[in-house]
Amino acid sequence: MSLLSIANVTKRYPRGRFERVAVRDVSLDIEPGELVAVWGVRFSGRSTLLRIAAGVESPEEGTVSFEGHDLARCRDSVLGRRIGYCQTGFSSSQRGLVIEHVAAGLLAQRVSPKQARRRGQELLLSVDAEDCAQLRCHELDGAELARVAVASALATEPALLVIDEPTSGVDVLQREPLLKLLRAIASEDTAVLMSAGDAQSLSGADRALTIYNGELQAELPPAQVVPLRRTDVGARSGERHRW
Amino acid sequence: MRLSGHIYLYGRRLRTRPVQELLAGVGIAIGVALVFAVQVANSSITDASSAIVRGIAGKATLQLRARDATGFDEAVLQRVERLPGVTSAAPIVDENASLVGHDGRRVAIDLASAAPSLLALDGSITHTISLRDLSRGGVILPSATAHALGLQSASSPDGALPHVQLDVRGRATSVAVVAVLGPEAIGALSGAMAAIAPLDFVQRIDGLSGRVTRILVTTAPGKGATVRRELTALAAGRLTVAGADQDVALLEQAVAPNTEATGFFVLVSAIVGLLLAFNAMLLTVPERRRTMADLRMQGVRPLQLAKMLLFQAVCLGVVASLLGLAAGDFLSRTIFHATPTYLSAAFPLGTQTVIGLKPLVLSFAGGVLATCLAAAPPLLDLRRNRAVDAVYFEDGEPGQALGRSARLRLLIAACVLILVTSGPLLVWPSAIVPATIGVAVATLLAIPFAFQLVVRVAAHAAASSARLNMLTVAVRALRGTTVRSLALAATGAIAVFGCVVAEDSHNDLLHGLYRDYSQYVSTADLWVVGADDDLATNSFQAGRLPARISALPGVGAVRSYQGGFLDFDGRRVWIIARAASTPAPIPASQLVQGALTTATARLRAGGWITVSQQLAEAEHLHVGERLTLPTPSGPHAYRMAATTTNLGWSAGAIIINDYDYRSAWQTADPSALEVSARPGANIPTLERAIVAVLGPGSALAVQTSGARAAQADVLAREGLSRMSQITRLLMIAAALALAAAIGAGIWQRRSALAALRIHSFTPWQLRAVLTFESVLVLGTGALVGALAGVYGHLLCDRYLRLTTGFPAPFAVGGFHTVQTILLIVGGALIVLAIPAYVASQAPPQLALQD
Amino acid sequence: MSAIAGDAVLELDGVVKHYPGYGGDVVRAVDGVTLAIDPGEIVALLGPSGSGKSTLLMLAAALIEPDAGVVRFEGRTLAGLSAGDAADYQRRKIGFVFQSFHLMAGVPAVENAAIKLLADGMALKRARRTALPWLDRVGLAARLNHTPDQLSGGERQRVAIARALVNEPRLILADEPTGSLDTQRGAEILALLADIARQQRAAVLIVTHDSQAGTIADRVCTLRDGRLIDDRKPLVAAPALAQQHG
Repeated sequence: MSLLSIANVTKRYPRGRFERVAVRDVSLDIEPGELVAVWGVRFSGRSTLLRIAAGVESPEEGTVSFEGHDLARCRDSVLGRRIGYCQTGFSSSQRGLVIEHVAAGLLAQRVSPKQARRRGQELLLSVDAEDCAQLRCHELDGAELARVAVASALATEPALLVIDEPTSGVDVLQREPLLKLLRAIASEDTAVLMSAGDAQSLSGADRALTIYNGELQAELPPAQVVPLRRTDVGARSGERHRW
Repeated sequence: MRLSGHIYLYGRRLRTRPVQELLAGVGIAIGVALVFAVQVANSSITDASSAIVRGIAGKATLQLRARDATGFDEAVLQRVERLPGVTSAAPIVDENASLVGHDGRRVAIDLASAAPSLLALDGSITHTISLRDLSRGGVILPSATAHALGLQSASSPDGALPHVQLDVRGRATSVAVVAVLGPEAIGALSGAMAAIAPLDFVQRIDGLSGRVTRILVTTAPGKGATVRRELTALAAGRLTVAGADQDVALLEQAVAPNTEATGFFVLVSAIVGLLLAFNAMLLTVPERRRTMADLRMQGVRPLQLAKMLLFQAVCLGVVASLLGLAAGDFLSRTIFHATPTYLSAAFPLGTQTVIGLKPLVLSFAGGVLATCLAAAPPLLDLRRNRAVDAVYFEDGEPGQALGRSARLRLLIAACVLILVTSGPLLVWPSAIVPATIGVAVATLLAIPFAFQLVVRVAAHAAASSARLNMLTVAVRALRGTTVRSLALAATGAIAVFGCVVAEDSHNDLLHGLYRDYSQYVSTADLWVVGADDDLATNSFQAGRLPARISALPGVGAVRSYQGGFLDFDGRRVWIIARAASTPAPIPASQLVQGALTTATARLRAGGWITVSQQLAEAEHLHVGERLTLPTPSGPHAYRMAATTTNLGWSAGAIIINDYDYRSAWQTADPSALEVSARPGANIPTLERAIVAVLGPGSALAVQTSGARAAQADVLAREGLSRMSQITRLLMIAAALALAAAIGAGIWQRRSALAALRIHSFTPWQLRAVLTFESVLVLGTGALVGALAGVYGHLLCDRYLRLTTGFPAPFAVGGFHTVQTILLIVGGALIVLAIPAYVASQAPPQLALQD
Repeated sequence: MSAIAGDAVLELDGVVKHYPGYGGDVVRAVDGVTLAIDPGEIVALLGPSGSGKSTLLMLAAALIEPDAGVVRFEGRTLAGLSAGDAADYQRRKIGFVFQSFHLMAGVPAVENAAIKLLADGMALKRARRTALPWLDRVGLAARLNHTPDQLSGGERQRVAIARALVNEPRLILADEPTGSLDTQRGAEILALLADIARQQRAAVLIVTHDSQAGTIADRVCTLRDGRLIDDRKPLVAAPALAQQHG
């Protein structure tokens, strides 16, 4: 059984008086520990696909099952728990300290605020963003925002991490370390589903899929996916982390 | 989520958005304060009075009372005491009187006697009034009365007792104050305007030797009904048998119109408060929604989020409502703390603010509930078919402009609502509350349409000239913040509506009352009457006074005027007995049913009376039919010649011929003398001459009819002052709250304003944009509110006339309406000038990212 | 390099701007920057957060005055301008593009683009007419009356570009114009901006952290702690530039 199974999913959006098909009859399976990247131009439907995969949005047609259960039914108990969804671009609108943001999700699991903060600190350390803990969200740069978002998504030890365009707004030099981080997460058995707007950001992916006009195309030939250098894989700071 | 988690999240919210939370809290607190203060002030009148009545009556459950001020033979006491089932009986003489302090301060009081037998009744008065005090031959004053007279303590440093002048039944006597008793001694009674003295002392002062006005009776357990029957037999139709606390019920009846009228304001205040809170909460909605979306992504379940929202709303609601209660308590003790003096002629009144449980619970729970309601909109994001992070994909403020058809539908709904709620008024004039709520809600519904209309007119006007470009920009900016603008306009509309209705009805009422009083007193040039006796209900022994006044040069006629109160069918009715020779015994403007000439002729002929419309309706009486009155000499039937308004006395009034009055009440004591001057006589000279005739020992005063009407007007204004105070407070609160809400909106837009600055808008241009925006929003509200207010005013006047019987001729208060609008809109704009000025200077950095 | 060339649109000469910081410290937001931009030239300004990029933009727009050094626009110094003259300068000579667009919500695209003209006292109708061709230029001729919430992020930024260009400015200042857009849309917006600027022969200063900007810029400058530490041609020559000079 796949970890996530998307079957014949379609999603439309109203656009003025018309509607736009964002995702058309897409099927996709993701196995535990896999790093899958979806690549496409704008309006290709890649973000919508990721939002549907995470359960943030429900498809009009087709089914999504996660760990064998219909995601439409179990969304509220899975999203943010077994599935971590990263919002990279938007967290900057948050006020308050980064550590508070990371710790907030844990409160729902009946963790005390004090413990949640401590755990938040560990999570930030695990993504190499421990220096950001006492900063405010709007003081972070693109790469830091992405790392913080990953940290808070990992707080509940999800089985699947969904991250939309992790490298968007991230300085070129900082992209590779970020992709390595995602690779390392996948290698520690948390499946990762990510999207990318350019081919350079596919590095490290086990599979790279192209989406065009809402339809999933063939897998990119492995040759087009730039591999990360071997020594880099798993080279995150700190020791082994629990997720 | 654990409680600590909820507290942590709320703490985080408070730290990051303190101003938003403060604004929301202030809006709620204002609403709660207004509602609470009005309720407390209202219930205090009857509650304080009830405390006094109980303080005196103690364990007594029944009373036998005289139907007029001259009382009945005290020998009845022995007969009452002998009745089986009576455990004790205490005689009381009470009388309306005035005390005059050294510096001329006058206080209208209830002079009550206390005999040693009163001690057996075990009221609060009896715990502390010692026999020694009672035997010293002076009066005991509650601390409030002493305070009103300017007396500091009962005895001066040299041990001599202070003296005050006691005016009763037309005579002025100097009496010693033997004790001043505060709340620690006599509880609520200390707030009473009263004087307590030994029975024989009061009888002597009153000239009522051997007579009492009331006997309070305590019965053995289970014997109440028996004793009541025996007392009724004893009374033989000439005395009233009633519960010991009958005064409280009668007072409640008398203040009911006042309570209802203020109840209407409670309603308006509550709506305004709720809207203010809603507005303030609306400012926090986008941010709350984002927080909710973020938390949901982090695995917080919808139910937990709903709990979180509820927890935060309850926290805010509890704190804000508590603050509101404190502010309301302050208001009710200060600004609203005015006991309507006009009632003191007929009832024992207290000055205490009594906080009942009901207003407390109602206001508090209302405040918390309103907060929860206002906090609810973000819950819409939890709907199943919504994307979890939908909020991030919306532009601008939450919720965009309502569609054209939606606006039109709301307008139609408003019209239908007015028709549906106002329709029943044609049949049941008392259905005023649903009608008013209908108009208020319709006002809200009409706002979107009106707003669009105003914006369109403004856009059209702006298009005509490039000079009005800033108006164009303002109009465009308003499109983006529609829901909030609508909510603000609605708040302004409700505030203006409430103020216009209140202020205009209030003015109509004052106008009507003044017209009534001036006609009523215009029957004589000069009135000789007790100085504080505004309704001329306290009788005095005239002796040879009428004859001596008649002998004065310039006097045409002296007529005796008799008046008093009669407890009748659960009301304390005002009885006006006028001589047949009185030029116009019925004030023409106050006639409701019947022909004036016929009615006047019948009244003069005798056997006929006029009755207040409400009283007639309560008795199911029509013109020409008979009404039996429980007079001091037994039941007497009179035919009804006409119906009138209540002549300004809320419990109703009856005009009767003085011949009929004398035979039924068996007294010739007048309560006033009407003096008509000969043509060409100099009134001031005559006035001085009459004062000379009265002499120094008299407690009577001489007033021209004009002065008397003016005095009544002052009294009416005072009695209705709460209405205008509420209006004023409502206006101030509305102006401040609107300014705060608009100001907060402007503040949130500073980065957008900074961007406009970079686009070369000068601070002056930005200020013009902000001013235009505010004027359009507030102006729409004011316009709709004023229109609805005129209609509400019409309804309210109709209610006053038909249900309460007060004279309130309808007149559109154009000037007052404009004044109200200017005060609210202008006040808000002045307060807004500060945030607008600061925001217009927003540093350009705000638009940049660094 | 054309640092002191007389025909530069914008010249910064040893410009210094300090702010008071915490505890009496001085924040050297801009610390002796010398830079010149020619007509039709596109300069990308890179640098980490707080490196003084935005301060530099505000100096160029005469929104603030330098503590030392000179800012010149077409040879004329911007020091000591009256408030009115500064507003005139911003209104007539400058176009500004922001990261978060700063469009007016609920207002049609064409009116958003025309907003500056209203401040200049132009009647609404004429302002709309003037803005129309610019919306056409940015490819939004079919969406003139769409409000921002009916437009995608990239389209919003196109409206913002039309707004910046509507007064035919000599200098375009852009503050992270691609910051709120994804990679693809960001690249398109940059290309569009560069294209129009070259046609108009307007000078462009783009503040960005996105190295993509290097692909369209003629020069890439890097700012750190208020100092210009690098000013060079991009590794890949801008194709448009190559054509022009070719």
